[in-house]
Amino acid sequence: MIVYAVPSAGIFGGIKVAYQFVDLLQAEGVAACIATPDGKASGWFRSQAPVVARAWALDHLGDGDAIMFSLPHDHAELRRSGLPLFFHCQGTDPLIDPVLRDENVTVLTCWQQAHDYVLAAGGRAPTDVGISIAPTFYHRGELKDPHVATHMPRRGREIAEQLAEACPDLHLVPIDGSDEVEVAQMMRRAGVYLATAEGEWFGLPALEAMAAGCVVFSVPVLGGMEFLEDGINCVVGDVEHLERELATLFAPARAAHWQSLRHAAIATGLRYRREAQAVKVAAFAATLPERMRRPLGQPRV
Amino acid sequence: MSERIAIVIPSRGMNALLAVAIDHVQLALEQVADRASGTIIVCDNATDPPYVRADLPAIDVLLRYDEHRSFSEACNAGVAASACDLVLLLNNDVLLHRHALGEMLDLVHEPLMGIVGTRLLFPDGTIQHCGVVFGEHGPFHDRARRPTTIVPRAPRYLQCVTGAAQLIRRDVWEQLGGLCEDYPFGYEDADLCLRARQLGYRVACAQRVDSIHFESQTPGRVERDIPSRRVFLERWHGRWSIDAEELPYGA
Repeated sequence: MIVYAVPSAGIFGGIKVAYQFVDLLQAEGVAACIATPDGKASGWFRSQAPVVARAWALDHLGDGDAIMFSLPHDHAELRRSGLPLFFHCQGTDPLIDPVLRDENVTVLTCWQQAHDYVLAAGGRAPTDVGISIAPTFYHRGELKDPHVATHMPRRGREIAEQLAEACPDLHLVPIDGSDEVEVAQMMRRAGVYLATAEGEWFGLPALEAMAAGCVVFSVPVLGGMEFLEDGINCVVGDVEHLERELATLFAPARAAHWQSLRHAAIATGLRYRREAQAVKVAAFAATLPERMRRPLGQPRV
Repeated sequence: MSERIAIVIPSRGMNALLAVAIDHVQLALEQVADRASGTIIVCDNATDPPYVRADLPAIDVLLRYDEHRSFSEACNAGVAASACDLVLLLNNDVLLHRHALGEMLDLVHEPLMGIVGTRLLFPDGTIQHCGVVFGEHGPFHDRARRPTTIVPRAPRYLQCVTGAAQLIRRDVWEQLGGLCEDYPFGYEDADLCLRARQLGYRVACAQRVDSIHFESQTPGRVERDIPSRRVFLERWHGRWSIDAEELPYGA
């Protein structure tokens, strides 16, 4: 069995990605669950992942089982378990370098930039297990309000407000503290998404907004540059560039341009369907020893 | 090799319905006779007057409680009285479709599978059970009271299925210690499924055919549901993942 240790049930993108991964592992016939410090489950997105308390998991895991984690701070404690470890790399902060150098840790990556980082910093090729968008985000023909721009104010609020000034007809709708279904509903009805978190590792919300049919205006990010293509499916650039582009948002001569970006964005989102990630997870699952795929307490062959 | 299934039916009163339910079990067993054999165990949960063995000629074992016990106790006693590879918990007001057991047997042999349910309808043709899903406030029957035609016929993989018709691998049952007896009546099935999934087992619901479930026919059933829900929430609230795709109908 694989137990994925996460730090809390809070609203952080990496936690949702962990649950999605456990769901996919289960679907591929790998016994897996989430472990949180207090055994509480996240309730802000849809999943079927079983949840246990971390202490309970560490007490009950045994020969043949393994632990997965994505927060480098967990490395030392989990290493003491003596069990095989999987590091699900969801960011490329140098803090992860000691993890990458640990030969007892198998490294999994979700996007190309992380793959390249692991190769450079750890000296070995990780396994690509992908990342995907929850089905609820995909645009399903809802009427959109072109004047509504959603954004996540937790990072880059000032930039969002500055951008809004460049386009006075734009109505800023902050997304914070909402569950995934509500976030998706807001994005599916909005015309624009402002991705303002500078230095973002991947920027899953921007990708979700693309699937929801938003025109995305994004500051440059790291891993997310694999799906953000300036002038093709979104607008990417420094704040000045984004301001200039936003100033033309409602110019009649550019209407077809925005429509083109919107359609390309939806097409990009389709490349990150859960089914596409499932193919990668299946390939990873096929490499696991049979005893690691079994439920807890099952005889190990 | 033929598998041995213990069909455990806890029952209180409802003699005529019980007899018809057993007839349906026999029909379902005949359909899988090439790969499974069944032992039918009825746990008479303080029926007054007690069931008479001669009135239930098709069953193999008749257990008797003189005082009303919980659903869990009755089921656990029934399973303990059997030697089997699989356990089918069945309510006395479920009329199993003759092909339901076959599909459940197919599913229970999928990798990681621990517990399998099946689609159940109310007599009016609407859905009673096609899988249990979880919202913020607790589990509920997905699409309850909606037409059976709106739900696809492919198996569904869920966190929980109803104990009204629940096929469980015996080794999983033993590993879990059977149903938790803290529940007066209700939610012990959800508890069992959540515990099984914590160990890495999967739970699925067969959808191909429609069986009938009258639901909550047993006298005193509803009154015991409230304290059972309390036990369940004290134990599990905040510990399930939310997988309800939308609000329950009528909410």
